[in-house]
Amino acid sequence: MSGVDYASNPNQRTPCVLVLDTSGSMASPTRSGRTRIDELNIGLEAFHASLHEDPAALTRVQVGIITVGGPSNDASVMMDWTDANYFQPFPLVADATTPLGEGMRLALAMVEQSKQNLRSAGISYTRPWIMVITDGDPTDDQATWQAAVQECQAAENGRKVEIFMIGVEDANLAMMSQLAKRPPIMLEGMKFKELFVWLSASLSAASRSRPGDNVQLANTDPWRNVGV
Amino acid sequence: MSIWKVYGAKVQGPSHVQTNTPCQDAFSTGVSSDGQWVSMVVSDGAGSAARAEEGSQLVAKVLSEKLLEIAALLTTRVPGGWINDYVIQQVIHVRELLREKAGKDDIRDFHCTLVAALVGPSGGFLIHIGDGSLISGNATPEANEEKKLHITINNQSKPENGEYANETFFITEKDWIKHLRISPIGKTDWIMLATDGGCALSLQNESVPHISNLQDIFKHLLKLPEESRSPAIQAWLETDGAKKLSNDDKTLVICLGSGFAGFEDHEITLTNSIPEQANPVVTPPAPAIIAPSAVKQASPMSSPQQSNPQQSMASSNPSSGTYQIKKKSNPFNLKMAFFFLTACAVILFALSQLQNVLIPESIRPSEVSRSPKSSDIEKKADSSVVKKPKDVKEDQAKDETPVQNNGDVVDKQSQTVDTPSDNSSSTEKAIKTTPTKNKETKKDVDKSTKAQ
Repeated sequence: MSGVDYASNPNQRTPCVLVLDTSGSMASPTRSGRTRIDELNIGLEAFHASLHEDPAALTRVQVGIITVGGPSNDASVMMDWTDANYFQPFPLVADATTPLGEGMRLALAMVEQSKQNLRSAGISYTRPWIMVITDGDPTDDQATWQAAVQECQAAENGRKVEIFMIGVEDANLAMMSQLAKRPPIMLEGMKFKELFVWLSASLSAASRSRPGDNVQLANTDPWRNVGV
Repeated sequence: MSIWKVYGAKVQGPSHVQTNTPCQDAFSTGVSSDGQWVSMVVSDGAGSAARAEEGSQLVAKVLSEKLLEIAALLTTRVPGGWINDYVIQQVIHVRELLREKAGKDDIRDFHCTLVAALVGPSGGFLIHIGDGSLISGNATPEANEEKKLHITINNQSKPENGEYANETFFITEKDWIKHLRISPIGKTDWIMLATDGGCALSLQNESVPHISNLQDIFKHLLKLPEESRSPAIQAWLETDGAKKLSNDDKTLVICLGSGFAGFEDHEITLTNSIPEQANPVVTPPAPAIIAPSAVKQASPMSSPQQSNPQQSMASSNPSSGTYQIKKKSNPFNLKMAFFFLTACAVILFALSQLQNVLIPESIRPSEVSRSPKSSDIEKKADSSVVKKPKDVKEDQAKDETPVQNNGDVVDKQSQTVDTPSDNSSSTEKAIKTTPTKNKETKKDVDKSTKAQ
């Protein structure tokens, strides 16, 4: 379910890792009757559709997925780097704990690997993104969490990556805010669909930005919880 | 009458039309009073800078005039390091003018790039800060075939971006001098300058000259009457193909020397004569085995990345350690490659020595008849054998391989690099479309600003 093709698509790339919480709490039911993970899966479908509506995003965005928790109860690469046009959403299953720190370290390693791959293929790229979606408290041990915080801060200060933290329902915003310069944003209800449409549009804007331009990200109002 | 003809156009990019930002590209050209020298300056104002279009216009206008002063000085002064100093002085002068305009020390509101050239009858200079592109070369009629003109690319100044594709360097930055590149060029028949957006027509994959596009540009341009050439360039920059490749402002300036006069009806061929080693591409040893063609033939899903089993898509129980492990293994691979290469060098050296030892000099064919494939390493080994200077000279004469000669690379070494044409047929189509309407060019290049 992964694939990159530099030979027939030499466009510059905008890589983005999704770090998705698939811990047990994501199985909690919501008002719609669906669980949080169901809603997240619907969001991923919307992401796929949205990428396909945007030719720039389709040829330039590259996606990777790391799940935190789930049946394997660890942070793991569920989908390695995949060009947007080969990206196929697949249903995620919620279970077990939330080793978010471990997930972030894995995401940073994936970003570095992506840069190496792109450089050796002679493909230019814009700054990679990491987008985190979580609904609870990280369960890493102290040492792992501290290492993750330090690595994330160093990566952002070194302009190596842009990190976006999105909180769902009971998310621990205080812990999340340690991982990124940008303050975490709470998702309004279960507006995963709107969130992923925003992500697709914003990645597209970043992938089209020219030297000297400020990247104009899409408006977050459609999915942002303004009460926070 | 000038020996140079300059054509060019700039167009507002689709993204600038959308956001109602003016075209922030600018260009200006000048010809010396004796008509022997031409100066061309192209500048790309940064979209994020408040007064970028003012910056790019001032940089283009002032520098195109000031560079011509070098031409005047060259009539009394031998070319040398002073030319570099002069260019630096003039950039400082422009930055000073921008400060006056800003009314403060900080000139980031005028952020813009610099793509410039000064060329005379026997050569000149390419001057570059940031992205955009300069390509120059020669044109010679084919010796054995009638009505054929062969165009070569002999020099290139590539775009310089930061780590990220959407970052570049500006003449208006504090550390501009770190990014100033001045490249002297030999006798030149043509030069092409482009801003980042304009590169959509001249470059493929960000830095490699787009051979088929360039060939088409020359083919169509030469057939047109002179007054239609600048409008044609404008029309090419405005085609859907060009818009698709870049939504930025686009500028393309083409200067043709007297080498093109009288060849308007010739068939054009174009090749890249820049030696490949001049653009070293660092490729890790392992992925190099996969030829691009092989990848293309494989199914889309079997990407180069997937060929590495460690990195392939995790299935039921993915290992989270994949990336950490891989990180460690890379330096090891490089080390192995280094070892391998060193071992090869030692073996080659030993072989060449053996040849000297095992075969008596009397029956050994003279040094000259060595296979033309002799590698550099072999050459080094040979140099340990004391030879009469005369022999060495003969060696060089008969050996077809490039030879270091007092630090200068022998000219013969022109390697023809055929760049594989890729799938940007949209541009090719774009270029083939000849302009139907004679739109008003924003700046008429033919009315070049005459200095003095």
